[in-house]
Amino acid sequence: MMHVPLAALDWQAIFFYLYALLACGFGLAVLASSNIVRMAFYLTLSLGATAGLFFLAGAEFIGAMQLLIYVGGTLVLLIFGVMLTAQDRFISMKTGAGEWVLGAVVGASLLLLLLRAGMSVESWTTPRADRSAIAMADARTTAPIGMALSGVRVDKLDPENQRLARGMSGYLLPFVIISMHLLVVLIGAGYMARTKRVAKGALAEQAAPAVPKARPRRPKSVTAGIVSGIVVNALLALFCFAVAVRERSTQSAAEQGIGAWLQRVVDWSDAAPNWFWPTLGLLFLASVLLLIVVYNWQRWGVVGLIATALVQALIVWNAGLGWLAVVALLAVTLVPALVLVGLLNATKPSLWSQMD
Amino acid sequence: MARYINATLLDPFAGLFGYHVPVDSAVGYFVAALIHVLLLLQVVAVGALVFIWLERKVAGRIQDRLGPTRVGGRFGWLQTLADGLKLITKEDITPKDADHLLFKLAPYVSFAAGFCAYIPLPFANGWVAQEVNVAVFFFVAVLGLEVFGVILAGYASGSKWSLFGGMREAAQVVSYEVPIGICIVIPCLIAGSLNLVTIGNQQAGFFTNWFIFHDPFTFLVFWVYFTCAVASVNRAPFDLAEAESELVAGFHTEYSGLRWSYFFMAEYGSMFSVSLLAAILFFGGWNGPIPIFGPQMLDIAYGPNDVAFSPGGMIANFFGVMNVMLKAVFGVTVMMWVRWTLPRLRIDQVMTTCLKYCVPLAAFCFIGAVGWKLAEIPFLNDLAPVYKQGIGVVRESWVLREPLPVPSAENPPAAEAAPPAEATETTAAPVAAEARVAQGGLR
Repeated sequence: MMHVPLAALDWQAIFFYLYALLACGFGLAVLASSNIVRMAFYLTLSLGATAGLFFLAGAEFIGAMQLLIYVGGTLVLLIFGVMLTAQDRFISMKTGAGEWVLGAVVGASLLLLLLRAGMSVESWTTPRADRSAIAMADARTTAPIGMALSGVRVDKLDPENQRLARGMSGYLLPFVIISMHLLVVLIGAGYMARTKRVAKGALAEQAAPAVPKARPRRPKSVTAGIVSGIVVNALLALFCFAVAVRERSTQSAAEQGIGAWLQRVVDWSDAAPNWFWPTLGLLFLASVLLLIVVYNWQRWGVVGLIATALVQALIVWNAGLGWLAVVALLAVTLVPALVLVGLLNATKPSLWSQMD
Repeated sequence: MARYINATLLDPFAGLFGYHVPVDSAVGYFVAALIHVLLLLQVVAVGALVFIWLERKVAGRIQDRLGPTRVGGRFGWLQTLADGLKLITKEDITPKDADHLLFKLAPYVSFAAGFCAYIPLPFANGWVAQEVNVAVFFFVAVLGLEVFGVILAGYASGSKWSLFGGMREAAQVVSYEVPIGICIVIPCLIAGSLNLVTIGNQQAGFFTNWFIFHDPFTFLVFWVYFTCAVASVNRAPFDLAEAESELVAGFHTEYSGLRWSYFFMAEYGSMFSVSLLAAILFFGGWNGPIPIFGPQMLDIAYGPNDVAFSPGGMIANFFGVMNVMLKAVFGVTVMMWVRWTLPRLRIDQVMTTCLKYCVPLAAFCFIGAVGWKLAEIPFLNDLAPVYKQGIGVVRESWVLREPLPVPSAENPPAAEAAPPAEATETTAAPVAAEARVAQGGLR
């Protein structure tokens, strides 16, 4: 059978030529144009076509990177610079003959270098007979790239030459160095662009905060309740974290030299799942913060305290420690919270109504 | 699909005339691409038609008016079409001071970028124009390009109002890319994948399995994401680039007719796409609140690795499309509600919202969600009284698979040739949640 003339075309080749043509064509347009903003526009299209080449080759991560960094980031930056600085003098660039010669020499030598490097790879220059046997490139490259950036070259885990294994440790160091550089640049930019502090004078008075609102007097009983609550909750949180980081014992009571009663407590704490103690500790810490909120006369702190106690009870129930543990926890958390509500409503007019 | 078109549809047809179409022919790929593009185009174009009508109705109701009532009989449902006819017949004006080429091209740049963001977005399990391995990343990269058209329009109009609008837009979008990036990373991190199809499949099952209910931090970060999404698509209260009370009409002051309407198609298109992304990342995508078609109930939906055609799977996918569309339309409606309720922010307030609230909140949620995952604290779905859910498996986990056995004479290297996905294929759906817990984020 004959091939339909058009149908015999290979779609990858078509798209390769299309993108390559676009990239080169717009690259030439950047050269030919004399308007800076149009140059930036053509450069965008050229870089976008390059991203298309990457996608065509199955390198999706690099393609998206090209779009994000070159096409998006750099060009938005470029346009910022151009639009802020583009005066009539610069908007239309006139290049002299000397600049053309210099540019041609530099560009031609770099092109020559690139061509020599490209042609020196044998498999890139010799056509393959079994083209249909080439599998599409596996695009699942993101995870290996991520692993390589965090220090593990999963593609080079078993090198043939074991002495090279030390060099296959990934790109963690370059990655960290670049991130630190960027962090320094960011902090520097923030420092340069910060609002200058006004030391004294009329502006400083303007900038001064408004006089805080008068607060109702806080009775001693409420203060004592809040402070003791903070202390107790912090201690409970510490206890929870201590239990969480403690190593699980495998020895029996007699071997450890502790009594049967203590052993029962240890077994009981071991029975809870791994996540239980850190979560409970975090919730106790949250209670500490909420008590500070209550101390600052925010009403939602009290509501949060009660909600936290109920969530803790739910978690204890889910950990399978039995209803006795739930009741004990509620006695420690919910009852004091309710007492606090009672104290706040004891006086007339009630403190509750004066809170924010 | 392209190979299917070539082998099953085109080849027998060409055979009638004595020709042969190879499986890898470019024609099939072009036809497949054309079908995908047309389907997506009608999502954007018809979507814009409906959303502009909806916007008028929502605005009317919020302001105690009726909105359009006459065109097309009831509810004024043809109002947008009438507007479109009016826009087409308008004169296409280019100002004298404008950069003619860029002025004419800018609306297309904006629209093309907004449209390209649909390429990696799945509408149901496997129904996606191009399943990109780094779909989320691609989406963010392309969405950032839409600002380019707006900046070009602002510059090329040769008007100071347009230039101000363009500059504001650039400053705003560049700032909001930071928190939106951090927000989007969190669901990807929980799923262990950047592939939107995988992320959607991992949330299959009851609604308790959606990532928004995964832990308190994801719940919080969704609202940060939504705020930043509204800002990044230039909607009120963040529509500083238009700001008709200050800048006439901002970047599109000098545009009229069809070119002007391209900006609006781009705006409504990207509103829909960021809502679609929110639906997939946080609200389970095409998985309804109750898994009617899932393995828990009827068990007719496609599994994550199914390739064979099944009518049940098609039905499930159809309702999946309905699900994800409804969620996204709801998101768009909320954006309209916000637009007609809140006043516009000043530019310094916009920056304050981004840098002083959204970025720290997103970073806090990021650390919290990572800690949650690291400490293996259970999420709502594990505490809920239903069995384990989620049909998705992290395909990327093959990176850390056990080393394959060394091929020997008795053990020929056939096992090595098998695709790595096969190990995960055997994971039956009901136990997939255990598999997910076992994979536990590649640790």
